Amino acid sequence: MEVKYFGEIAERTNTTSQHISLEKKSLFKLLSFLKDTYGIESNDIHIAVNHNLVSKETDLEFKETDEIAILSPFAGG
Amino acid sequence: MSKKKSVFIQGEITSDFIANAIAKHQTKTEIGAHNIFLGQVRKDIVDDKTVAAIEFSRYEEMANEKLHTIREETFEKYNLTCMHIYHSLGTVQTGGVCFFVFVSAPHRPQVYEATEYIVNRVKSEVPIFGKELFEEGTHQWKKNI
Repeated sequence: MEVKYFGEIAERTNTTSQHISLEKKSLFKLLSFLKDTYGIESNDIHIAVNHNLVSKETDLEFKETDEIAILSPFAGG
Repeated sequence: MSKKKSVFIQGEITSDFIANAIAKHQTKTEIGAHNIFLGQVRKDIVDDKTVAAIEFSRYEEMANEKLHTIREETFEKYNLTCMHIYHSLGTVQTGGVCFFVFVSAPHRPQVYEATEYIVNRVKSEVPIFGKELFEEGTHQWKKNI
């Protein structure tokens, strides 16, 4: 699946998007991938699915068409 | 649904831009009160390093959707004549204005509350990212508290 990265996350992954293969397309698997691959902790990010933030406490299953984005803390204003 | 408005401006929001925004409202004579919030890039010192500028970026589609929702919900909540939100993208030096919220209504109480409401929601809900560039070349990522 395709994942977009923004802010500090794009810097740490050195890319703004990436195709990743998970054994199960779920939020918990994605969090494990980010931790194992980049050392990115769940507490340091927001996850947006189709432009809405989702809870990191629930193991949401992603659909093929979902737009998934990993965001660093907001800094507007 | 009102049309989606353009919020993002490349670089600093200049005094001329702000003055023009005010001047454009002189024909809207039902307005009796304007309120303006300006966010300015602060010269913070972090571990002996001094912030020289902030480089802003955003998640465009999500930011536009969230800003649209904030606009609609603010109009539902408060009796406003008009509302404008502008935010910088790219680099803004310390002392430069990077955030401009402009709220107008027939009477005064609504504009104070609405401004605070908009500013808080933009800061917490809109995916805007800020890289604080230090004078000596390194950087850190800004986080809204």
